[in-house]
Amino acid sequence: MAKILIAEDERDIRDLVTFTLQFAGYEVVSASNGSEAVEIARDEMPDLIMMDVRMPVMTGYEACRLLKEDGPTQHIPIVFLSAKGQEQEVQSGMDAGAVDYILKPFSPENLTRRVEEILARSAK
Amino acid sequence: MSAVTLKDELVHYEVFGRGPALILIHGWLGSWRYWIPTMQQLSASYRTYALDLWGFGDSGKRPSLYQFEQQVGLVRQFMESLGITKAAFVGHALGAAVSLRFAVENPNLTARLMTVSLPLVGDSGLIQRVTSTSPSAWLERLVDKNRPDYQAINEEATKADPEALRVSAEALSIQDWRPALSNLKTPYVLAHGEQDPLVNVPEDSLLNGLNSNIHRVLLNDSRHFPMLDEAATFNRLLADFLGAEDVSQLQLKKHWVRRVR
Repeated sequence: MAKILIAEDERDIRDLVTFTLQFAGYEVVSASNGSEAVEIARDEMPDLIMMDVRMPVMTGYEACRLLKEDGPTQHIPIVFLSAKGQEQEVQSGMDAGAVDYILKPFSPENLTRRVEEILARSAK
Repeated sequence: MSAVTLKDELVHYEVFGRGPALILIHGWLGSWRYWIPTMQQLSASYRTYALDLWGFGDSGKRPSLYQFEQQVGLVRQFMESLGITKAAFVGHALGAAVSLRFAVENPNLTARLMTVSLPLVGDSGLIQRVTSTSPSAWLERLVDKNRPDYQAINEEATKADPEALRVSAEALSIQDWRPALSNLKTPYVLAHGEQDPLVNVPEDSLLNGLNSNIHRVLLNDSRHFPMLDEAATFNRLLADFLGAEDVSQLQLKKHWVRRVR
């Protein structure tokens, strides 16, 4: 099963995403800021990275750019988690190299479905 | 996977969330797994525990542990093992009976109680219904196959030891819980799916004179698994009940889905 990295500074969200995706059958690793996300991505080589936009230490945008510039990680699809009403963040995320976005708030059921869709698309 | 060792056997459980303890106890047709949606919805406010009873899921399968009293004892030992001093409980079908007996015997350890699909009065047909049809066959009838977690729930259900099903169904087929209700002081919701084909939905006449701490709820569009059939409604009901000052004011609210902000 696919390995997913969730980078999110809010613990409740990070825990919920981790719990949801683990019991949907995915292997999940997590990071609490952008810098950690880059480090873990390089170590773990996940199949998908779900990245919050606004994080301490390093933002999701910066982390995304770094990963896209780095040979071993540039192929890993990155999905931004963005708050509803922050549509400009979505475009900025796509410009930074993301393949898709998921708007918060999201339900656990929709999260799982979106992850499946994105992984299926990325596998083609 | 989390587990504790009790009576030299593993007890599998999963835990998620932060806050006061909420223990979820499954029924005959499955294991801890069908509580996942409930755990997801309540994790922001409660530390939710869902365990596998003896003979079910990934917990020990020693037949001498399948007696009903042993299942009730498991709950207490589980709490002691994890240092849980008091908890709210939600039990389903077999788990409903286990949690109700636990609450009656351990009122100081029970904050609130919700039972779902409790076989309230003795029912001689219960044994046949539980044992003559496999859990998988029941799930095919009762759970939407299009659910993304259907396969996982079904796989878990197949782990049940048929002896565990038989022993527990036998015990509950002759049990009338109404005297226990009259002794229960804990805030309590007695919930049933109105279209449940496995557990008889008690007639109103059986529930005359309930104490004021008890509230009866019927989920009209639900069969045996209200937590799956009407998940949003069920979880909202549960959340409201856990936080309610006055149980008698509970009512089913409109559709509400927890959103991650």
